[in-house]
Parts: sequence; structure tokens; C-alpha cells
Amino acid sequence: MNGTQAQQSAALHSTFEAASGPLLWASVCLTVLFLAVSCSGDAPPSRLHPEENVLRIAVPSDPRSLDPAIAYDVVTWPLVRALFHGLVDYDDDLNLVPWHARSWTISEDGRTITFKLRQDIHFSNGRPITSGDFAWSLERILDPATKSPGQGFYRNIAGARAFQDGSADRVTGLRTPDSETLVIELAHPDLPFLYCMAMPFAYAVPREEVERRGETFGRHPVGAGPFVLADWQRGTRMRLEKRPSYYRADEVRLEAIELMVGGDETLHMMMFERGELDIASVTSTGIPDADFIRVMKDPVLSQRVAHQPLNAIQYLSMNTEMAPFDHVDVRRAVNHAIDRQRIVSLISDRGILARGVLPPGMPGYNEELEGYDHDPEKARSLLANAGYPEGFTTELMITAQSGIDTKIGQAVQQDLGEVGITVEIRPVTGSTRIEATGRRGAVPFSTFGWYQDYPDPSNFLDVLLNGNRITEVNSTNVAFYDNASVNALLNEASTSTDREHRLALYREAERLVVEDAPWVFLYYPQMYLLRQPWLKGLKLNPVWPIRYELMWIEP
Amino acid sequence: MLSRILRRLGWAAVILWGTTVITFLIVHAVPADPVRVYAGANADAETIERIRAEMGFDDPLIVQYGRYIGNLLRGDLGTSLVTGERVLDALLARFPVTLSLALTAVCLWMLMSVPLGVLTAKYRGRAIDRTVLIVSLVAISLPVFWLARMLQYYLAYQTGLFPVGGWAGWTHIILPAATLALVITGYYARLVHTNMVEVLNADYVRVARAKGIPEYVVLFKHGLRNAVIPVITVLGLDMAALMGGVVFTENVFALPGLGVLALQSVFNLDVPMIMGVVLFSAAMVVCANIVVDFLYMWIDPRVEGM
Repeated sequence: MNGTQAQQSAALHSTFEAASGPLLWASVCLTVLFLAVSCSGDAPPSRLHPEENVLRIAVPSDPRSLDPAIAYDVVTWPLVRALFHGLVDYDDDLNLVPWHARSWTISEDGRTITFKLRQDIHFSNGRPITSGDFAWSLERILDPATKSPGQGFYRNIAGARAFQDGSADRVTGLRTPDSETLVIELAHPDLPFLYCMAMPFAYAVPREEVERRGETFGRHPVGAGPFVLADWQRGTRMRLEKRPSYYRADEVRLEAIELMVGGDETLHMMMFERGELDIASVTSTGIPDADFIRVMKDPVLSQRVAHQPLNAIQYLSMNTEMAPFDHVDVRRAVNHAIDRQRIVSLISDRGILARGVLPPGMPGYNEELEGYDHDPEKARSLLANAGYPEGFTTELMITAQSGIDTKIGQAVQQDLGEVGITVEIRPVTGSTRIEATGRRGAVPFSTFGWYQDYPDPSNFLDVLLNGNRITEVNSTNVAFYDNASVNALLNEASTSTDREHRLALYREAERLVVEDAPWVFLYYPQMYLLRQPWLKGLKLNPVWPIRYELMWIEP
Repeated sequence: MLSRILRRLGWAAVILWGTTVITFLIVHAVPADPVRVYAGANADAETIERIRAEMGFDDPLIVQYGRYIGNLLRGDLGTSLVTGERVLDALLARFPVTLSLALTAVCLWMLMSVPLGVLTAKYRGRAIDRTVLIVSLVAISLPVFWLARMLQYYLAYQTGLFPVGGWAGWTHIILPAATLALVITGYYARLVHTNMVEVLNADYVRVARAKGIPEYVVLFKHGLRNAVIPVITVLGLDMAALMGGVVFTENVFALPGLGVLALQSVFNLDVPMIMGVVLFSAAMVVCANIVVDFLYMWIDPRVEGM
């Protein structure tokens, strides 16, 4: 053995002496024993940082981008709203109200909207905002290089298509006669277009910052909102701080918003119960499935639950072009065979039974719709009428990761089994399901959920059920439902400028849809939110369940 | 020696190239559309097609692969489809977390398994040997994500001794590393045990004892030094398996490491990021094996001639 080897050996030796086996083992056992004994009952949670007026929340993963042109999910939108500012907003009854726009007028023919803008609002870099900023921001959405998922909402602006195809270098329908006037000319009349102007895609971004940052603007956002981004360590944390120069800064009471990035809903629930978070979850889940019943039965926790019916629907889509669902009686039979009340109770009553397409919070909601009651006997006779007295076999596609889809799938399998329809459940990833169901002639039967983009019936009926919307791939009309009368009603409604007339047309279209039963109308989901008693200013509404600028902490 | 190093590096390059081919094919064989995932469920068909063209996904697969390899050779791993972040930056930002988790775990389980292995070899067949054997078997059989959740619940949530999750300093690494270590210690303890038993029966150990050398010197100097060689080899091979455990542990404890990045990029179908994570992990495993190879030579001079 040479000298070096002897040294190494000595080093190894001393290491093992220090951590001698039995001692280590004994200490591990003792520690475990100590911990087991010290696991006493629950202490009432108290706030971890009682003195600060800082909202603490957690999100499962990084927002992809804080660029209003890119962000398009329920977690990121409230953050974008905290950082940016738009022309119009909603009041508590979901009416559009002035925001950055002082007022607006719509021309007689419904094709021209003229916004008059406030002049006292600045970006956080200090530059005043003009009508040109809003025009440029809209043009940026339509620019294919921006890759904005929201471009479809603004394609009705006159000249948008020519600009997208590269045959024009400006969008002709966007005009700014002076710094406080924005004129938007539409290709055809479109009443819901104003709702699109309330979506975060249409918020103003400063051109100089976007050009300076390029693709990374979403990491270094500069807007005109009540907060600014102070820190964002990917995968770890994000911090938004109040902007003292915001034009209504005196109304914003939070000093900062501190987001933990990462972890699943179970971890976030633990952190909430330890007082480390002020809201258990800001995702649409709200309260983890596994904890829901415990929370609602807990005398303390249940007092901290707020809930809000969402403008959303959970349904089963039947592909009306594929046998046997091409037969209307088969689709009606399936609707009668499924006990939707049981499905709602399987999801712990976190939904309102659906009788049609439009949820109760949506203008045009028809409470007189009867829908389909649970009647297996009727289902059997309808199946016999349609030529399937012995039933048939089909495949139901569900999202594998979704606990709710699994419950729905099993309930549907059992209910349809009772009337002779054998259902094989095919679980796939969410992205596979969306891709497959949008492909013509690919998927006969699938679970589906739809969450509104804006509170107008067109966002449900036109997008999901207009036959003119059918495309070979990536169709949003996944039932491939094509009824000429319905299409005509929807097309008339989409260009009508008379609000009451439009709603009547949508009601009629919905009635025909329910009769044709391209979907099994299951339920309208409700959002549940669990928050600490010291969190104030939580005002839920179906468009903006989370509005950070209204919240504050009061220990 | 030099030719040996060159040969190893040559093979490493071949392995990494193969990894890019396989990953590229798998990512594109998935029956889902990355553009659709990017654009969201509410986007219309026209929007999706325009974004697809902008992202270059409408080119033939071989063209896309050629572009990827061309960029790769210039050291460009691409940009995330979802976050616009450069893939290399994302990997380098996450790597220290995963590395500290893996190294802490390796240290923990070596510190536990070597003494246990020596002890059970010395007292083989006795109560302590059997107890350790049973405990090891149970530990090996535990699913990592379950154990992680249990430790998180009892040691962090219930008692507050450790942070329940997140990343803000070294205390956040203890429970995740302990999770990985607990599952693997039993296996390594048995490995050390088996090799020790064999070595302790060898002639030179008998000679050492006959010369009156103290027992601890016999155990640790003559015995362990020889018994630990195969353990080092297995450790190198286990780096790949460790990466799997890291994915679960990081996700349960919300550690911003490569495991979380891997899972999120798969959920988002973020093709450049998936490619980057897989390639980076493969490179790490290949490196670990090369290091072990040379470590092996250094511990056991007989290997060098082979």
C-alpha cells in the first residue's frame, strides 16, 4: 500500500467511525418515535406573516407568459389583469362599463365602434397611453408572428384578414383620428365584439417595451395595471408589487401578491391549512376532490368556502355524423338513459343540473327548457324505434388525468348498460382528446367541458353548434352537428344589433338543439374557493372569479 | 489510457445521437397536437393553422429533425414553445436543484447503507441482520411518490419540522432527499452485505485476523475497501433510475428541478423542452457512467489493464 492509499483508507475509516451503524440506526428510530409522539391534534391555523398586507397564493406551474397576447387560461388572466389595463370591463351584473374608455358609441349599422379614451393613464414606464397604443396592441394580436391564441376574436375587424395574409401591412379597420379616439370598423355587424374588447387580449401594451424585449416580453411585462412584476424565478416564485403611480392607487389595498410556483393541489391544501396560503387554490378546481367532503363537513373550514356558478357546461358530445349517433332517437335515448342527478351527486353537488346549452348566468338562459328526464323505459323504446332494440356497443373517450371524467365515465357506462348500450371507456390525455375529437369522423362519443370566453350566448351556441363552424380538423363543433334551421338562426343572431331580438333567436336555436340532442347535457359547474378569514374583498363573478386589485388582508 | 477515453467519448456521442432520434420520433408519434395545446381548447381551426405555420410544424418531419440537429451542433437547444424561454437556460436554471437533491440523496443512502451492510455482514444470521433485511425489503417495495407524500404529511404538515414544499434554501432539500435515500438504502445495504460476506471469507482477511490486527481495521480496511468496488459500479448504473425517482419527488415537494420541468413540458407537449430535458438527462447518465468507470480504475488498479 502506498502513501496515498493509506490516507484514503484512513479517511474512509474515520468517516465510518463518525457515523457508526448502530448509533445511527438508533437515532433514526428515536427520531421517528419522537415524531410519532409529537403528532398531536390540529392547532388552529394562524397567518404565517401576520403583519404584512401581502396576498400569498400558489399555482401548480409557471404561467406560460404574462403577455396579454399569449396568456389564455383561468390562472394567468387574473395576473394579466393585475398588470395591464383595458378599454372596457364588467360590473357585478356582467354589464360592460367604461374602464380606460370614458365612453363609446356604436353606429346605426353596428359596424363602427368609436371609443373615447381617458387621458390621465400611464404605463408603468411613465409614458401616457394614447388611442394609438390600443390600436397597435390589437394589430399585434392579429400579426401571425405574435402567435396569439386570441387572434380569432378580432378577425372581424375590417382588413384583418388581408393583414393576416400579408397582403396589407396595416389593419384598415383600426383608426385613431386623435390621441383620445379609437375607431374600430368591423367587416360585418357583431354585437358581442364589445365583449372581445373586454378580454385581456385587447389590453394595451407599450410598443417600445415589446420591441425591446421581443419574445421575452411575457417575462418582463410592462403595462398600466395596479401592479408591476417585481420578481419571477421560474418554477419557484413570482412577486407582483403595488404600483404607486397607478391612477387609482388609493383604491388598491394590497402591497404585493406573492405566488409560490409549483406543487399540486394536495400540497397547496396542506400549506393553506398551515396558514401559509391565503387561498387554497386559484385554479378552477378550487378545493381538491379528495378534500372536498372533509372541508364541507368541517365546521371551521366550511365557513371559509365561497362558491360561484360558472358560465360553463359539462357535456357528452355525440358525433352526429357517426353511426349510431347519426340517428336522433339514439341521441335522445342516451339522454333519457343517463341519470344526471346521480352524476351531480357523484361530484359532491358541485354542479347545477343542465337542461340545455346555456348556463343560468348567461344572457338568454331559458329556465323553461325541459330537457331530458331520467327515463330508462323511454330510452329503450326510442332505441327500438331507431332500430337498435338490442342496443349497441360504443366507446366513450375521457381525459385520463381527470377524476371528474372518470366518475362521469363510470356512471354513464352503468346507466347505458341498463338500456343495453355497452360502453367501453377510453382514457387518453387531455391534449389527445382535444385533438382527436376535433377531427372529423374520428371519435363517436366523448366527455367535454366548455368555459366561456365572454358572457354571450354566441360563445356557446355559435362556436360549439353552428354547422358552418365544422372543419376537417380542430373543429370546435365536436358533435359535427349541422342543422340548417339552427345555422340560419345563429347566423342571423350573430349579425343582429337588436339585443332582445338576438336573445330570442338564440333561445329558439337552443330549443332546436335540445330537441336534436347532439349532446348529453350534464351540468353547469360551480367554482368553489377556500380562503382564510383574514382575506377580504373577494368578489366572485362568472367572468372574473379572481380580481386581485379588490382584495386585501385584515389580520 | 488515452484511447480508452476517446473510445468512451465516441460511444457517448453515438448514444446521445440515438437519444435524439428516439425522442424526436416518440414526441411526434404522440397522437396530440402541440399547437392545439399551445392555442388552448377554445381556439378555432384557422387560428391553429396560422400558429402551426408560424412555429414551423407544417414542414416534413425529416426537415424538422435536420433543423433541430443543425441547431444542436451549434449549441442551440431551441426555445420553449410555451414560455419562449431558451431551453438551455431553463435546463441550467433547474439543474443545480436536481443535482443537490441527487447528491444529498446519494450521500444519505451511502452513509446509511455502508455501515448497515458492514454490520449485518459481521453479525450475519443474527437478529440485527434479519431486522435490517426485512426493513430493507419493505423500503425497497415502497413507491417513491407514496413515501414522499407520507413524509410530507407527517414530518412537515403535521409537525412543522420541515417545510412542506417549495424551494427557499437547504432545509427544503432534506425531506425529498430522505425520501429517495430511504427507498434505496435497503438495496445498497444488501449489496454491501453480500460483498462483505464474500470478502470476509477470503484468505487475506483470515491472515489479517491471524496477525492480530484489530477487528475494525480488518472490517473497514481489508474488507470494505474490496467490497465497495461493485457497489460503485451499481451506483453509476443507478443514476438513470435515480432520475425517475427525482421526477416524483420533485413534483410532490414542488422543487423547481429537472423532474418538474420534464413533467410540465410533457403535459404542455412542449417539443423543444422535452427534447432538451431528455437529452440533458441522457448526457448526465452517460457522464455518470464514464466517471464511475474511471473511479473504478482508481479504486481497483487491476481494472486498468482490461
